[in-house]
Amino acid sequence: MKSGAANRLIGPAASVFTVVAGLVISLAIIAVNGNPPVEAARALFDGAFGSTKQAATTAARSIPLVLVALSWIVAFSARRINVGMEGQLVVGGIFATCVALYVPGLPAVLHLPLAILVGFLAGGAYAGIAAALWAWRGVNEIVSTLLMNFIALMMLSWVVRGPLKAEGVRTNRSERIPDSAQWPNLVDESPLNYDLFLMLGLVVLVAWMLRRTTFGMRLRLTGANVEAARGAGVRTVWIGMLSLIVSGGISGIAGAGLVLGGETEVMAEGFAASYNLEGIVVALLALNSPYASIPAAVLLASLGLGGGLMEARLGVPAELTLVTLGIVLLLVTGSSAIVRKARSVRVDTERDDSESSDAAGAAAVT
Amino acid sequence: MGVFDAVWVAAALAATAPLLLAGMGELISQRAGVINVGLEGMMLFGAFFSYWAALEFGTIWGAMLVGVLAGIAIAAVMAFFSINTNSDQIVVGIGVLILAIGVTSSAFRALFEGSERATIIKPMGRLEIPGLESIPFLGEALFRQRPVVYLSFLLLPVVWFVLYRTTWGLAVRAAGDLPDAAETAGLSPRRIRWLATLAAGGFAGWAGAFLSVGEVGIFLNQMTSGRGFLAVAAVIFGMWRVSGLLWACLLFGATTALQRRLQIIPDLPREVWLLLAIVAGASLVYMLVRRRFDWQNKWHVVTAAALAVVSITTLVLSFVQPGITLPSELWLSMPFVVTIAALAIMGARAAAPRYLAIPLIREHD
Repeated sequence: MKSGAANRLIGPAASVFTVVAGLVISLAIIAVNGNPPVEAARALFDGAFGSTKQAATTAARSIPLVLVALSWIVAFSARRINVGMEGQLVVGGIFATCVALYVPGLPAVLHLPLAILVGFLAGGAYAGIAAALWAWRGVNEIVSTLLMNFIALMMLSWVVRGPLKAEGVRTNRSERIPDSAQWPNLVDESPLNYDLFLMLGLVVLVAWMLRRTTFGMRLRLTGANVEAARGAGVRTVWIGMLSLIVSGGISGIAGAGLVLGGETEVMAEGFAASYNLEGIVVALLALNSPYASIPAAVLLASLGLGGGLMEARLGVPAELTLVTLGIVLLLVTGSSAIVRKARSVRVDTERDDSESSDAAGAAAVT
Repeated sequence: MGVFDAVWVAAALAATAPLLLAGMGELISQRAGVINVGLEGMMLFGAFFSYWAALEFGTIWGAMLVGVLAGIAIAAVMAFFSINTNSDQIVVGIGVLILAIGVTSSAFRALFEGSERATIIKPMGRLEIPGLESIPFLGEALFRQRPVVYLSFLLLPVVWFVLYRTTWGLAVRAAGDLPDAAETAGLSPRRIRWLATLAAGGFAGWAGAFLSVGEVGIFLNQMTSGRGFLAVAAVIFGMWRVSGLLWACLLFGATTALQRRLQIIPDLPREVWLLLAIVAGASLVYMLVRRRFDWQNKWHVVTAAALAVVSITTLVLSFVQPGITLPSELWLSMPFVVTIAALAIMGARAAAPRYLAIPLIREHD
């Protein structure tokens, strides 16, 4: 146990290393294509942190990423895999918009929390369908949540074209979200809102829930060893369902936040962007730790925004940052698997894996 | 027959082909124990690189070959991370998907966007089977397809033969079900998994190539639009069997083709209601006759009652024919809804390869 601290550091070190490696590879790709990599790196940095506004935008972008990552972490701690955060986020956003638009006359103190709560419930209910199918019919939740993403996107495209469409405009979008349901601005002239604090609170809450509550204990026990958990009297199926539902709820909050805190102040198609895949990368990069997902999300958000400026300055396609993400994700899972192996060799009697270091570990797919 | 005419059958078969191609690859890799959720990304790779090759070299078949090779190349990434580093297959699959979206969309923008080179090429021509082509209904429905469509159906028995009648097929199934026994028999399950994953990549690349240069004639960002995921679902829904895969792909393909037609028809036509009534009624009869039906079981009774209600209502509606107009998005989401419903109806199965998604860790690594 002497090397316990060192062991604990291998995981994060591997994460940092893979990020650096991913960036270097991407810059190499840029260089090979004949663009100066230093310029590209500077554009990346300026785009993310060049000014107060840029930095605030980066912070605002990382909010949904953290929430989606939390969503993954909650499900994954019970070894359920939710890849339907996009769908849950969209459904959460749609229902939050409905509350924002059609529940009139409430003061902001009630209106905004109500819209967010409804977003949470809607996202949870949507994930609940997949959870119920998994529990009662044995439908693999990876497949069902994935497919439900597409259904939710169709739903969104329909509501902004049909029932929720604003009157008298040609674009497909909802009416403007009333002020009473909008997140107040935190930094002027930037998309950063007070929902930053909601995100931070949720991070603490999820970390506390996983570590310090009976429910969290049951989740982790179920995730670590279903048989043992069942033996200990945990209703593992119910816990698995709940993990998916709570996970969906958190994504629903992310969706509500995107609509109620969005710069455009309306709901339109595409508000879910690619937060689903990026959020998964955040969670894996953070080795499934709620706290570590904050820096990981900031990193990803800055990559995205920096990529935009890189495109504007150098004409390098912004989608290249997706390549970086893919490389980082592969390297981080690969290296965490290697780290796990190294660790199990070193501490070869009783494994002292804290679950956070288990990273993308041995997820069973049943 | 209105909606369900020869044109619909032809469209259904054409929509089935890419699912079937990708599904055959996924079936092989899942039987070897590698679940490949990056299939969508491999299809994208095939779609993009075959389009690039078609512009570069000008031959459709050569372009398809390039698509296959591109699929194999990205599958090697999947294989390396999921087999050699024992990483979680789902996560690696997601990584491959992100990588593929990034590579194809940025390469498309860098090479073609705004340039005059990004033209729509002439897609693969149709091959009318002489003689058979002129049979009244069947000719139009079956025998005026693109060559790849015929090939995908003809390959199915080949895949069955390889999986069940060759040593390599036995090895594949052993790698997924009894890797220890395979190892004892002197085989290398890891190597078999590698090959099976590459096979999946090749098939998926081909399926993607069929979409871009085979049907449309151009590459579009994320043009596979969920077909890779449907193919994965088809393998599961087909209970990891070749025949099951065929039925699943036909069902999804038929739904896709139906959805395309219903989008442009304002009212829901009578035959769709009738179809729903028949499907619900047939499932009810099947449930009562074939399955051991248990009146004490709440789940059984509720399902039977629901099916009865659905079949009667839809039967009534097929006569009343209300002028219901449904949004096109509903039709667009139909293949996905049908897939989930199909998975739910089939329920949990013990048919999955026992070591599916479980890395093979050697004792003395």
